[in-house]
Order: sequence, then structure tokens, then C-alpha cells
Amino acid sequence: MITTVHNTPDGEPVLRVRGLTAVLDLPTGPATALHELDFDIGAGEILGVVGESGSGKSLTSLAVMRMLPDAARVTAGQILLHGEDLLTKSEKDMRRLRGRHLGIVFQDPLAYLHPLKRVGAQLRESLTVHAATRAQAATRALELLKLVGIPDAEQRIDDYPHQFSGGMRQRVMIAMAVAHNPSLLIADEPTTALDVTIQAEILRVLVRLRDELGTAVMLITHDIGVVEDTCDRVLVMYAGRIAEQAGTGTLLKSPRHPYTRELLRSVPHLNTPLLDRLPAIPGQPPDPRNRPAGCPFHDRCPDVRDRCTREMPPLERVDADPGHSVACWVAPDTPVQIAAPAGGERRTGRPETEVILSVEDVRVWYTSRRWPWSTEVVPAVDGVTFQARQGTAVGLVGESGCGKSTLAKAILGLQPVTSGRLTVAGREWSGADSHQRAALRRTVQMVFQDPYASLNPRMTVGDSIAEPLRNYHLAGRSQLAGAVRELLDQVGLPARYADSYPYQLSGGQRQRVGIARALAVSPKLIVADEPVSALDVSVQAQVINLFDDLRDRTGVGYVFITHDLAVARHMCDDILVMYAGRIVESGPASAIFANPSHPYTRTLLASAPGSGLTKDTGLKPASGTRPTGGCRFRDRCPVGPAANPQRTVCAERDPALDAVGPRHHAACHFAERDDR
Amino acid sequence: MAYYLRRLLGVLATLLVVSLLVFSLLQLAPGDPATVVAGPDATPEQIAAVRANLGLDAPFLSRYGGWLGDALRGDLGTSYTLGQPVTDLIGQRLGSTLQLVIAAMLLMGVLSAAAGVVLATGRNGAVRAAVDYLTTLALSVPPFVSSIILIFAFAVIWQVLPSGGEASITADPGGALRFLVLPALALALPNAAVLARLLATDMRRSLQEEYVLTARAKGASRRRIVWRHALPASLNLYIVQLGINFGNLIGGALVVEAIFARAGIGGLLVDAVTTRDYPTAQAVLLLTVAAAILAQMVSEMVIARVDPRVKARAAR
Repeated sequence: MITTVHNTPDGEPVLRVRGLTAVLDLPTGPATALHELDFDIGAGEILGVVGESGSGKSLTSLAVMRMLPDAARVTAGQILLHGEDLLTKSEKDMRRLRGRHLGIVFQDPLAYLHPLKRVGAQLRESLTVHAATRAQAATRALELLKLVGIPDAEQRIDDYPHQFSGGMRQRVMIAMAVAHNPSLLIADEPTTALDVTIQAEILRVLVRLRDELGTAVMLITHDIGVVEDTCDRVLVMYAGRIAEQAGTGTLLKSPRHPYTRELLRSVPHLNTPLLDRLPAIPGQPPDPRNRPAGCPFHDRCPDVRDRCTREMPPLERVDADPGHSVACWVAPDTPVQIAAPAGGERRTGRPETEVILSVEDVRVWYTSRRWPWSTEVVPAVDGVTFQARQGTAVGLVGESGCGKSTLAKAILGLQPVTSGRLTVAGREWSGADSHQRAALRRTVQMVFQDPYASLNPRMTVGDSIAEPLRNYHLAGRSQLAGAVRELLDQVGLPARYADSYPYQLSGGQRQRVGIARALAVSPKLIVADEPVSALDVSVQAQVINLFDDLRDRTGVGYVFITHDLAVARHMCDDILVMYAGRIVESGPASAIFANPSHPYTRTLLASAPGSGLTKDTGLKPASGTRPTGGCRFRDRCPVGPAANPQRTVCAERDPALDAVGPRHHAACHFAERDDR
Repeated sequence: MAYYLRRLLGVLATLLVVSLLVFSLLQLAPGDPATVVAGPDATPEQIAAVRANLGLDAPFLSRYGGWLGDALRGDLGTSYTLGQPVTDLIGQRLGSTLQLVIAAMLLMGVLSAAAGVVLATGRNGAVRAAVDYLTTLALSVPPFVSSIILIFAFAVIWQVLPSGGEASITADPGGALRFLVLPALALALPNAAVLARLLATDMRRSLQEEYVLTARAKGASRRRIVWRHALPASLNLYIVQLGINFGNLIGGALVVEAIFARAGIGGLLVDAVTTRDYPTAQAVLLLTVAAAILAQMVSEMVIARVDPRVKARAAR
């Protein structure tokens, strides 16, 4: 056997980091990327590392692996693995440690797996580079695939990564990382690219491996819910420093650092009362090139004092709690409780406004043609009906592949519908001539997920916003600048940004530009595909508030596509839950979140981060093929025939979207009613 | 299997279009083979007779159809000027060209792969700079110039290799190879330089890919990362370009043959075009184009073997 278990007698931590300081060599000169980090991870402990982009959390993990990019270097400190300093090791010694004592799982498993090598070959490589024989490696590779829960491991081992689903790929990555039972496993945003149900599964795998193998785990994430569900202790990083460090329970309930506190408040949560506005942190996380003097958070901090602008606060122990330390001049004197902040109860119920989007039994079937004479039909959207009204937001939720993005494309007229009627502001896309299509495009606009890719890098912000105005001749040459200024003002950006290029803006600012561009033609409906998921947590709340304000001010309607149920609950009036191209549940957000009726909705809610991992949702893993005829969800359903064989009706009859409460519908033979 | 069959159907369709192009282009070119065949002193009546005899007075499409039908049966017609079957003429000369192209292809592959890997990953700065300089030089000198430089250096100054001619590969393999070195090198160098640059750029990109980080995290050595991870990932583009450059080699071979006095199909083509010998010219052109297309098809099929995603994408 090639496994080794590293016990840590007398409670010595597996990893002990002391005074770790690193600089980034930028064209503008060296910049401090990590500043005097001190932390430990014990055997069998999961340490959560939370922070925004540029906070240094990934850099910390790469420093521990001694895999920093060329532009970064460690200038001081110690990284002790079982008491041995990794910083003094030769590259050759490090090679022996990597993969054996140190394992790492990265964010995007598709990019981090070699596209041209079979999964089994990549797994075996983890073993053979550390002197396992081919036969040993082959046996162990299969063992590992089973360990991380790949069904039919014997058959799947010779598949290529592109034949695996996202969750299965991440399991493979984890299998490679734990191939030698490493003492330390680093997971860098391991579930960020995955659906909530898959996320919960992967986190369960990590927790189980920690339990079984006693591995020390460093879990890097931006998601407070993930921390809540999995971590024993949390490290909050801000601008390359540790802002606060505490046990998970303490940190979530009584954080000391204003940043931690504000961050926790600004994140919408599934189980807290709804607020009219999210208490957002102003500003952006600082650029590593240009960090403010004193406390790096002082320019965004509500409790800022004179001293904060001049002196950097050291990380100091909070007296009462030996495991709790905080770097703040103000915090130690003022323990805070995360109480419901001011902002008022959320308005409920809107007047019946004009219907701006009407979708009636819309189908979008993709046909692929392998031979000129044969076609294969994939029903991406399969008979969807709903309406959206002016000044309201409809949320589309569901796992990737459920058809929500295809539906969005159809609403935008980018994808012709196969059958059914799709009417925007009284006009239909299908059959419209180019003139009518142009007019329709003015009524419905799009905000994209990735604010980096959706702006042309060679156009100034002003030009990007002015382009739709020019296309529709909405403003003369002399009025353009004024119109752009007004739009920038609407999305909360100063007018001077008109002359900036996208690279000069932060992610949140870019997303504001994207929103301004969509608003330029005064649309009646905006379709937004995951508009905040690419943004830093502290910036998400700002953009969510902006969407809310714009709706109240302009009466625009929204269709939001999101995987984040808490965000959907906060932003949307109505929710549509999609599965396999169909709506399985629809209704007012309040009804759906309070009384989820369809078993699929219930599993989605139970899988949402922050809901705890202990309860088993009963969701069966998706197989490659979807059942046809009857209920499409039955092969995965926790209450359907897979769990209760006597429920044969699920395979026999297609469940209709029936009322289960006022305006609340679910397509399930065993749906739970609101008045249950 | 379906993937390969579909590719093959595509190639056959392309070849059909090419045959029509080759046929019509030559016929559209000014000049009349009948006047050449009948000789300078022929009367208009004699020319008309020759034209009827050669079948040139039939309508265009029926001539094309007849030629294509014969070609499919393996009969490429009879040379107007030499009176011999075109298949015989080509048969006598094809071997020489084939030797040259294959030798150049091998040289091109080996030189470009070696230079590309050194350019992308070489850790000795001086070696990398030297290779960089040499590829730039090779890139900027076309075969007809490099041929003359090579002849001057190796045949005139040092006199280690023959300046031209050829020997039978079956009777005297060693001698035949000596005759092949310089023309194959002249032909391969610019193509190899292009390929080396391409491979180096793509490998540098591959080395930035995330899966390289995964390999490092496994504890893989740098050598392993270069040869087992980055190189296979970059082979795709390289193989495509190899197929495309094969066409360049065939085109270049016709020129290089003339310089090194080799009796290949290049000379045959030049003679056939100048004397309006349609059957010979058509056959040689079609053959070279077909070879280039087939090379590309082969390269695509190799990629489909190397990269499993290609087939998956094509099936979608």
C-alpha cells in the first residue's frame, strides 16, 4: 500500500504559518500581497479562508504549495508542515511533498483536468510520479474513484474529462488530491462553478474524507453559507491581511471586525426576514497596487476613527476567547451582535401592473444533424407558460442544463421558438420582420453574467453606453454626452467614468456599466443571467440594491436567472423553478420559500449553502439520460418511485402544473399544498 | 466510425469540385493545343482536323464528363505532344517527387518539433536565442534562394554533396539519399520554421493552462510537464499545420526539382502547360491537389484520434 497517515501527537498542528509575507512584482513596482499571516490548521480540522478578489486567499494557498506565479515571491515568514519549514526546501524536495503530503483542489475542474487524457490516466499519474508501480496505481485509482463516490467507477475510469459532469470532474480532482492521504488538503473555491445540489454533495465528500482520513483542510471560499456548513474555524482576509480569525460559530454570531460584520449583514440569507434594501458595504475592495494607509478597510468602514487612517492595527487576541483574534483598533471594545439591521420590512404585494412578457406553452427544441437524413431532437425548453409584469421581477431557478438560459435567449429573440407564443410588450418575435425585430429589441435588453467579457475592452465606457443610443437614433450627436452622463448617474457612477476603459474599472463598476447600457434604450424588460454571481460578495449587495432601485424608479420588469436562492428570494416577486426544460413549480416568492411544494424545490432549498450538510436530501444523482414520458424528475426524486416503488403513477402520467395554493402551482403527483 | 465516414464524404465532394476547377481553368487559359500539335505551318483546315481528332470541338460539359469518367476508370488520357498515356508519364516521374516530398516532410517534422520545444521551454538563454535566430532566418528565405545557398555551400565550397541529379533509390539507396539531402533541406526549412514558431507559441500557451498547475500539484517534474502535458495538448494545432504545409511542400517541390535537375513531375507539368498538353497538365494538377487534400484529411483524422473532443463536437 502506498498510503501514509500522518498522525500528529500532542496536538501539534499539521500546518503552522508564521509571519508569511509575500510581494507581487507589478510593472508599477513591488506591492505587498500578503502581510504577516499567522494561522494554524490541525489534523482533522477544516479552516475556512474567506475573502474577496485580491484579498490574497488563493495566493496564500499557492504559497503553501510553493507554486506561486513568477511575479510573486515570499519575502518573510515560515510555512511549517509538521514542524518542517517548506520555504527552506529545495524544489526537488517540494516535488516529493506535493501530491503526497500536500494536495490541492482548484475551482474549475474542467480547466484543471487535462482535456486529452483519460481520467484514469490522470489519476494514475498522481500515484506513479511518487514511485507507485503501474499495477499499484491501477488498483488505487479505482479505489479512489469509488472513495469519492463515482458510480460505475470501473466503466468511467477510461472516460475523458469532457464526458464527466461538473460535479463528477470535481470528484476526480479531489481523488487526485487525496491519492496519498495528504496531511494537508487545500480546496480553492472547489464548488463555486457547480450547482447547489452538486455543491452540497462535493462538500459532503470533503467533510467525509476529513472524517475518514483525518486530513487537515484549508477551504478557500467567498460563500459564507459554505463556511457555515463545513468549517471548524474561519480566517477572514482583507487586502492581504488577516482581519479576523475565530471559531465558525463565534465568527458568525458575534464577529468583532466591522468588515466581517458588514459582510455578514450584506449577504442575503434564506432564513432571515426580508429587507427592503440590503445593507451594502460602500466602495470596492482595494487594488493591491494601491492600498490605503493605515487599516486597509478604513475607507469603507462605518466605525472608522482617526487612528485607523494612520496606523495599521495588529492582529490581537480577543481576551475572552483564545481562538478569536481581530485586527482592528475599534472592534475589541465593541462586541456586536448580528441583529436585524435597519432598513424596514420588505414591501409585499404590488399592484397588478401591465403584462410585459407573456410566454405561452413555449418549446425550444434543438435539433442536431449527424447525417443529412437523420436528426436528433433535444427539448431544451418543453412547454413553458408564465407572465411577467411591469415593475416586477421573475426569478428563474434550476440547475445548469434545465433550460433557463435557453428560455432567456428565446425571450431576447436570440433563439427562435419551436412552438408556442412568446410576446414581449404585445409583440411576438416569431414572424416579425427585421423592422419589427429592431423595435422589439428596444423593449427587451440583457445584462450578462461576466462583466469582464461583456464589455468591449477597446471601447470607452461612454461609447459602450452610447452605442445603443446611436443604433436607435435616440440621441443626436450633441445630446449623446448628456444622455451617457445621465445613464451613468442612474447606475451610481460618476460622469468622469465615461472616458475610462473597462480595465480601469472594478467588477462591480463594470456590471453597473452593463446595466446602464441595457437601460439606454428604456426597455420594458431586462433579462439578467446571473448578474451578481461573478461579483465580490461585498459588491453583490450594492448591485442588487441598484436593480431594486431601478425597478422602483423606471418600472422596468426583470427576468432574473440565478442559482443563488437567497438572492432570488430577495430580488424576485415570482419564482419559476425549472427542471428538464419544464416549470415544476411557480408562484409568489413568499409562498415558494415558505412552503416549497415540489420535491425538487425542496431539495434545492435544502442544498443551499448555509442550510447545513447533515441532512440528506434524498436526491438521487442525475444519470446521463433523462426519463421520457411521465414525470421527468422521477429518477432523482426523493419521494417518487425511486424511493417508493408503489408510486407508479410518476412513470405513467405526466404531472400537470396544478394549483397548490393562491397563485402557487406545482407539477407533481405528490405535491404538498400550502394549507397542508 | 461515422465521423471518419462523414469526413471522407466531404473530401470526395471537394475532389469533385477541384476536378471541375482544374479542367475548366486550363481550358479557359488562352492558347489552343490544336495549333501546337498541328505545328507552325498548319493550315486552318489541318488545325480543325486536329481539333476534331483530339475531341476539342465537343461541348465543354461533355468533354468534362468524358474526361472525368475515364479518369475514374484510371485512364487519364494520352499526352497531345508526347503521344504516351499520361498515367505512364506520371508513373515514370512520380517516384522522384515522392522521395523528395517524403524526405522533406520528415525533415520538417523533426526540425520543427525540436526547434519548437526548445523555443518554448529551453532554459539555456543562449541556445534559445540561437534557435530563435535560425528560425527567423529560415522563415525569411524561400526555397529557390536557400537551394542556391545550399548548393554553393555544400556542393561548390565544401564539395561534400552533389549539386544536382538523382540516383535510383532501389539500385543505389545511399547515393539516392545523398542526392536528396540538399533539395529536401531547401524545401523543408521555411516550412519547418513556420511550424516551429507555431508549436512554440502554442506550447507557451499550454504551459499557462490550469491543468499544468494540477500536474505540478501532483509533484510532476518539469520535464514530465513539458513532454507529457504541454506537448500533447499543443499537438493538435501542430498536426493541422503539418497537413496544410504538406501542400506547400508539393508546390515547393516543383520548383526545387528544377533547380536540382531532378526528373520529377514538376518538369512534366511545366512542359505540359507551355505546350497546352491538357491531359497531362490536368492529371498532374489534379494529382497534386488531391495529395494536398488527402494530407489534410489524414491530419484531421489523426487529430480526431489524439483529441477525443473533436469527434464529440462534430457529433453535436
